[in-house]
Amino acid sequence: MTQAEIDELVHRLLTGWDEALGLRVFVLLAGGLILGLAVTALWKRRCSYVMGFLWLLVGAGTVLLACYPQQFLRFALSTPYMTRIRVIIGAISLVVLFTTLESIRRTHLQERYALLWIATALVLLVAAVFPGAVAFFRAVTGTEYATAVVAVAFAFLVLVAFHFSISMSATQTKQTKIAQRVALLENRLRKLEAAGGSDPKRETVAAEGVKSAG
Amino acid sequence: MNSNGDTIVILPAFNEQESLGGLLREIHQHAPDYQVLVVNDGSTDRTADVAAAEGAAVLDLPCNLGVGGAVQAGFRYAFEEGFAHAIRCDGDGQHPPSEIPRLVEGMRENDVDLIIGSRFLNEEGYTSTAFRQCAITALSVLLSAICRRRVTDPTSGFQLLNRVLLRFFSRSYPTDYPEPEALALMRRQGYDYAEVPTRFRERIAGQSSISGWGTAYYAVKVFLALLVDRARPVDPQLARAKLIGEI
Repeated sequence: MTQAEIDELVHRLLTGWDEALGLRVFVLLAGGLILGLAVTALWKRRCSYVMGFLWLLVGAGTVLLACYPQQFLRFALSTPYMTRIRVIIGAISLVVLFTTLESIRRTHLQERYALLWIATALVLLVAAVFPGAVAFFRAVTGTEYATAVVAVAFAFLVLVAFHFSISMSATQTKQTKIAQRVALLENRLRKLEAAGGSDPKRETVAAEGVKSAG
Repeated sequence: MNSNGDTIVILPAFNEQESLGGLLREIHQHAPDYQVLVVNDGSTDRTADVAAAEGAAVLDLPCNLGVGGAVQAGFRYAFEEGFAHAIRCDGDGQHPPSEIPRLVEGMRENDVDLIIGSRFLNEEGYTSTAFRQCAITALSVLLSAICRRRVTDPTSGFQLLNRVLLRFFSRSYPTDYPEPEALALMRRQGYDYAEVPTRFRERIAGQSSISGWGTAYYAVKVFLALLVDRARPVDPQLARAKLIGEI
């Protein structure tokens, strides 16, 4: 896309937004809803302060966009688009980093699976703060900044996916061993019960357990 | 652990309640001295109850592991209970119990660890689809070359194993569609096999686990496994010379 085409697109967005009243009302309502939910959640202490504050920011931004579309868009589009790409990439990396750390904190994620995710987020963050970091890659492949960042991030995501495949295989091997051991122990237990004249009440319970598991 | 000198028949079974009862009675008729173990691979029907009613020992796997996992559970049981030999045949009735004596005779005549009942050694009237036939031929040529020992029916699950091989397979056995890969693995660790001709028959009930796309998946998976296994180092912990001292 040439610079002239981009300018044309910016102009269309700026003038078109003013006239789309229905859309603006819809965005305003959505922003109000986000603000309302964030305030209630903060008030009832259902979420952390950081999350509440972030959602308040998002809601406020949406409301601003609906009320003062011209000023908002003009400010956003007046920046050079290199800056906008960097802001977007930085935001993505912060979201990945925050989600990963929060998942570890809530013990949804073990550290060893988080390492590659954190590495991905950090690579994105470095690329956003220091655009020169991907200069070598750009020089080799002759691509634009955004393409280079996406390519580097993609490489890390492939690593993450491969790591998952490996650990899934290991888990399956262990699961097989455990299932076999359970079956062998159950067999031995039944033999012991049969030999030792066991309590009939317990036996029916065991049989029902097997049926429901099957 | 010392061996008690007995033989056990291992039947992996997944939803075989229709055919299993008849098969167990047939085994009892043709091989009355052998104990029978049914490995119930997470069936959703009454396979385990049918087996127990016929007096077989039952291993109830808590979830479906596939043929490889089920058979290995049977091998572990056979080894831990001290059996000297184990006969492996399918729970769907493809492998007629009347042929078991041929396997036993094969083990007596050959000094090997594994006897394979082969459909193709004498061409005793077994028909299969052309594609499957072609794949099996290619596989047996490749496997014979890799193992440096002729094999005509590498996918046969009708086998007789001795105790040292039971030990080896309870430590290391491939997962789904295990038979060809298992042959390559055991040859690499110094174990030996031989084939005897046996008659197979049509399955009594149930469906083959290998049909349609399954055949293509089977072929690709097995060829890949055979090639990659070659690149794996020999594990001295599992070598025949080491395990023979442990049993």
